[in-house]
Amino acid sequence: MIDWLADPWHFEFMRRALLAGALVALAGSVVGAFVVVKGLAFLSDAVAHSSLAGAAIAFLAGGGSIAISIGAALAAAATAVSVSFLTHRGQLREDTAIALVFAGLFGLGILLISRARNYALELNSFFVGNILTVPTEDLVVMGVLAGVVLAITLVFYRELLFTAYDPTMAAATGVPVALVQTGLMIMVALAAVVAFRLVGVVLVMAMLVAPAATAALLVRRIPLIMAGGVVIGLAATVVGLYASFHGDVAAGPAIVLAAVALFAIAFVLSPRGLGVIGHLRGGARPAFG
Amino acid sequence: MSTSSAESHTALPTSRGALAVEVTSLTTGYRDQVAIADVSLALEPGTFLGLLGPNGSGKSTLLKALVGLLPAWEGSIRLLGMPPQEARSRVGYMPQAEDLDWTFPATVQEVVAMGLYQRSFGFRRFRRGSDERARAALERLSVADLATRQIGELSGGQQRRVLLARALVKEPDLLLLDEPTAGLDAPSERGLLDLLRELANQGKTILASTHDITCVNERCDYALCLNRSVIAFGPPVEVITEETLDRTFDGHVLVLGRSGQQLAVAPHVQHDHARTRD
Repeated sequence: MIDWLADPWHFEFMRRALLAGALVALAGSVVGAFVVVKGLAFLSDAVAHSSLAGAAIAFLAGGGSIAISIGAALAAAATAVSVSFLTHRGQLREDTAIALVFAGLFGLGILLISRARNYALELNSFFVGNILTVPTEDLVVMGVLAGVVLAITLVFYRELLFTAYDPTMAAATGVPVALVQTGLMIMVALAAVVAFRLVGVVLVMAMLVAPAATAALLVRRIPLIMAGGVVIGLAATVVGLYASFHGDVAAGPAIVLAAVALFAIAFVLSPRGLGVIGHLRGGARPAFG
Repeated sequence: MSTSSAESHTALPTSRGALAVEVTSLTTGYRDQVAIADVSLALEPGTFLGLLGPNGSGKSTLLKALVGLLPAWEGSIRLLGMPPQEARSRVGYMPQAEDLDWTFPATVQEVVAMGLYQRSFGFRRFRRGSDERARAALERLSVADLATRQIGELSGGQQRRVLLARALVKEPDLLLLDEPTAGLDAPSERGLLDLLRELANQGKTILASTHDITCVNERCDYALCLNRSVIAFGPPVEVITEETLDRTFDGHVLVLGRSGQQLAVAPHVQHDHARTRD
């Protein structure tokens, strides 16, 4: 049993994967708390997928990890701004606007990558991640980006919280609401870039939503949801990496499945879900509210 | 329980220094739709104005224009002698409680502390002390015991008090309140309005939209009847007449008794209409 538990961590690539997972848990949960609470999952998924276009342009121009991250962030900002423009000026419903921008930029991203010499390989690593072969340089970039996301959140926490809770009053008090909302989308993109390597662009959303949504079932304050999300995201990474190592399955999807499974367990047990714990204790189930 | 309106008028400051609110021929709206046209009003410091009008009459629009959320298409706004954007730190605003997300994971104290927000840079951002001020504001509204509660657990009356505490927490000179008493039971409504009256007596200027004509009659120094433009503006005794109410509420008001003490009922009819249409 102890060998079963200890074996994976004898390997350098597994330790790197764990570190990468920790960084994803950090960036994903800090941003994910706002995504979950504000119902921004679809917009964030669009931002994550659209940032592929920016990443691809930087990649084709011969840029390294840093250039790819900047490209992704710029594409994310473009997505957030276009969605906002289409919704407010074009009088489109927001989900229609999101779908259009999502499709356009994601299509552009795939089209650009198809110009690459080893198209299938690159596309595959973008789509499902390749955490077990991540080079040190990429780990450093992931760490820096996670740090940036955390620093922005700490410095602008009041603006982020105020805008998330009550944008009208926030604007009336002088918070630059549009800027904060675009900033949050850029943070989503940065978190997505951090998570690319771990789970790939298709499943990035899971690492933003699942740990924070699980934490939101258990605690009811934004900072606690963030902290709880980090712990849950890390737990999912550990479980997923064990499954990958011993079950010989791809690491990314295993981590995502573990994250969703943790949510399911919390949903069944928590009073905000099915409340099984409360029922077992014989207590009355608290009302939603 | 009724303060005679004549009595409250004698409390009006008569000096014509900087007006607390000065709106001149204001026209504004949403996209290309005019919502309010040619609205003018002037309020001296320490006065309490009740803003009356049916749903969709532009009450919220006027308040939003005053806080600087909507630009003036025509005309001008000055608050405390300044343009709205510059007066922000001295203006407390309370949006309609229905517009807020009460499932948001936050405590009462966190929400009230948001009222202290000021743009700041450098290490001043991390300044402490907002907790005590939030608590003091809650205490003033006698809901200090709610400080650590989740906002999702509050009753309608408690929600209003928390929002009012948020508007009051930075000790503003001017309060702009959008339907502060909507949905409250009669005792809570009276309590809240008494508190507003007291704040006005202490020198704060208050502009509150409401459906409650009787309360405006009893507690406000001025009444403004709005229906896309100003129907009447002045002391309640002069403004609240059957004729102006008829024009303001498009004939949906039932006036009971006419001499001195007026009881007007009805604007909520509008709510019911809206509901049956759904």
